[in-house]
Amino acid sequence: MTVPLEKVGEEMILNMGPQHPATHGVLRLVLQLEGEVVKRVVPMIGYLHRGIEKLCEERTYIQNLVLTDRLDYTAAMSNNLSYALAVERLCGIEVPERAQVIRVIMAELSRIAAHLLWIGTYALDIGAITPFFYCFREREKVLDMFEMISGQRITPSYICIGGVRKDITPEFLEALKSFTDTFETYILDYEALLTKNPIWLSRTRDVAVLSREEAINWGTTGPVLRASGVQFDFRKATPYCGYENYEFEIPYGTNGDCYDRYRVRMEELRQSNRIIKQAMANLPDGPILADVPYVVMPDKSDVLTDIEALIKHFKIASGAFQIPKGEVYSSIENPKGELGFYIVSDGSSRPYRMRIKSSCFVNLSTLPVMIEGRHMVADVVAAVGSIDIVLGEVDR
Amino acid sequence: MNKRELFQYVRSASPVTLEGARECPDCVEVRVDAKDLLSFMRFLKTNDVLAFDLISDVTAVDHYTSRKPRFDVVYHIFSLKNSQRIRVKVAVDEGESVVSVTSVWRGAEWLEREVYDMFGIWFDDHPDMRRILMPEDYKYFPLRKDFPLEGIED
Amino acid sequence: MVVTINGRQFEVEQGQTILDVARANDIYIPTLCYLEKVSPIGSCGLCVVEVEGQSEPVQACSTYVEDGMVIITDSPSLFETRRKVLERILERHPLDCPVCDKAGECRLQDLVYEFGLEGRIADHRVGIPRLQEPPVTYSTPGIKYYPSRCVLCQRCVHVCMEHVGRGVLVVNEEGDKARIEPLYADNCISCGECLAVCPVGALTENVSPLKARPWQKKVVRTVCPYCGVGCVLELNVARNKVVKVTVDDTIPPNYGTLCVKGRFGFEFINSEERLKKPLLRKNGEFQEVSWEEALDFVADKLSSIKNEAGSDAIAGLASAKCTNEDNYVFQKFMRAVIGTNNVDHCARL
Repeated sequence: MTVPLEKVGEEMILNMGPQHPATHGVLRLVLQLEGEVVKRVVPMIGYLHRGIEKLCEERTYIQNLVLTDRLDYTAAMSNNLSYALAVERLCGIEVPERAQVIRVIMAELSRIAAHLLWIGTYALDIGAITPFFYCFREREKVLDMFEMISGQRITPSYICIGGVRKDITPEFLEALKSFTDTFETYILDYEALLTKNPIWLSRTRDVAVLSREEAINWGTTGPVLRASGVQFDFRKATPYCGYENYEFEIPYGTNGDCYDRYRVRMEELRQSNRIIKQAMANLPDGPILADVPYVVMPDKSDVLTDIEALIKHFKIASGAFQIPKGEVYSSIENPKGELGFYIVSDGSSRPYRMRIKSSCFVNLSTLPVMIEGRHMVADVVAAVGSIDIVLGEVDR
Repeated sequence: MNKRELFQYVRSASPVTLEGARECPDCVEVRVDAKDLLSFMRFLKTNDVLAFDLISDVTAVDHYTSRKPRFDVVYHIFSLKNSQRIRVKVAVDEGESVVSVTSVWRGAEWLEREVYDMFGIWFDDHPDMRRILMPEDYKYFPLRKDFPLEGIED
Repeated sequence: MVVTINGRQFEVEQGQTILDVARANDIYIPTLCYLEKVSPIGSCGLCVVEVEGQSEPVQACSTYVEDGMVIITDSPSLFETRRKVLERILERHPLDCPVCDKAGECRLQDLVYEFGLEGRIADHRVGIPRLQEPPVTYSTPGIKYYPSRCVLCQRCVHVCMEHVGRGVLVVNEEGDKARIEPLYADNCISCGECLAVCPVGALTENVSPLKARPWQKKVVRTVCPYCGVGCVLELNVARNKVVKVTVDDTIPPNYGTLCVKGRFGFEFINSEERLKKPLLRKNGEFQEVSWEEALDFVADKLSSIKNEAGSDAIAGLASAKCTNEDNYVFQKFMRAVIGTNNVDHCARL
């Protein structure tokens, strides 16, 4: 593959990746170095391109739900939620209240899980090994909770079109309660290790600064945008799933450097915990699936004993239902930023065009702006990590 | 400003003639001609009332044989001030090119590269028009409707 | 004559049924047993409509129109009546959808889905004992018959009696044990008409070992190669193999009817025994040779036979599976090159 870089004089062209422990996946960075200073960086992506948008055109809407897990695989519940909200908007399906509260709990839990993974691996990139074990200890608890209700840890496909698949059990609520009660103390642990640490400060303070105007102009969203001084969150601006009923703050930074992004994500952990506590306290009773017979599958025990339920299950699974013609763009606040689905429907059971807007893709394009001409090779690692990319979402 | 007010304001204050404008359930949708695209986009960004400053998405839809011109380039732009989104569509035929909006929002750079990679629509005045996801020397455009799902072996 | 259906007036003629009028004017009345090419059967009871002046709903497929009739095709009570009909059928229908060949293109499935029947409180005694009952012997080995799936629409009986004219099938027994039976199995010519008209998976095809669901199949319209009539049929192709033959009722010359060769004779297409290379017998065994060697051998041998025994010692036999052009060249070869009139064709035999 040719690279649009030309060596000038004593400069060196260094290749980082695609196999590299600090690029968080299969990302290739080509650096043009003058000494240790990076003059140009060219990110090259596409190594994890699976053609999800093309695959979605050949599968029914229910089958596509499983593919959305694999986008940002560190926070799979959020991806399911974004897709389900887009399809429900297109069909005009109203989700019952209990399902909405459960969805909020799952979305915030996956935000916590994603940020914990980020802190652990980012600290590992910078050189601090201990936070990794601490963070993953809590992430295990979250993944165990996911396994309790959906049977899977990483790709639950739990939030489906019309609601959630199964109701939450008392064991889950118990585990959730013990998790949220003690989580604040663990956050203090992580902060004690990193926030005022002089090595951490010198590696992340004033590194990879993205000014407010640049952040908005480059279309960044999520913690990257917030750290650059824009107090904006899709949960507050365009509320979904009943987020307008919860009290939480939006943390934002002033400097726009790696340290601010770290602080924003740390504070988001606290806010997510706060939201989960409120959700648990106000969990209403009721059904968990919308009463839309042509999209929502019947209960499995009925399917195995009842001929009508069997026929309905067969018809829905083989794609006999019709979604109304139209198009919709719907996005939510994922842990990494804005995950948007633009679905064009031609009235059949398969989407005509399914576009997945991923925040990591747009955020990664700001890497040259952050680094070029200002920083050295070691800072490239810090910058790439602080954007928090997941190649599954970048490449789709 | 809510969606209805936004719709009426865009219709009345637009400096170019809009080929189509409607209020969809999720956002306002506007269709412009390719030659008016850049001035319309600049208007959207610089107008104080609208202030569409965050580019959400640039993508394309392939209508294949059901319509001529074949492609629709679709832009989604978000306004941080009003918390509203607008959808702008431009009709492009095969072999034609569209002017790039990277001079208005730099964030469109990679998004337009992906549209070129997947559909083959060229963007004029783009700072770095290359393929982004597929290999550099790939001959086909995967998301077009005549490209098979299994791919083409060569 | 003028009738009113759902408030709209239509011009009708003597001899039309209510269902004919509705279908001609795009008014939907659900049916299960109705078949256009035979006289109305009236066994399912789904097409009931309300006629002003009659106390009970009547069947639209078998009621002839009269001047001034006022008909309602859709009302809450009609909906309930149709639902009860479906529920009665479903009570004895086995839970075979995952293994049934017809699932995905089954009329019963479509009707249940359309009527939005919800699961009843599951009566476990009904569904489970009728699971996976094996097929019973039928009048032809090309078709498998699953009596438990039969909805007794009697399309097969009527088609065999009226359309084909062989009268193989009858309805035996009453009530819960009613069955279709091939009572006059000797009359059966394996034309497969009963298979084509069965709305559910009671009669399924037994020739192709490979099966496919409707969304996995591609349908290719073509002409039957076997004889000079040239019936139009549709090959259902999945994974590059032919799995079934279906027909469209509206296309001449056969309007949906086929014979045994057209319906079941597709095995030769993907047969392992088809020749792919010329074979020549050497030392008592067939060996693959090149086209040049094979043609040289045939030309030498034919010339030597013609020289030794005369042209009339050679005869040629053509096949209906070849095209007209191939057959023309063949008889030209026999007459002009070999010089004999001994040329014949399998269809004449």
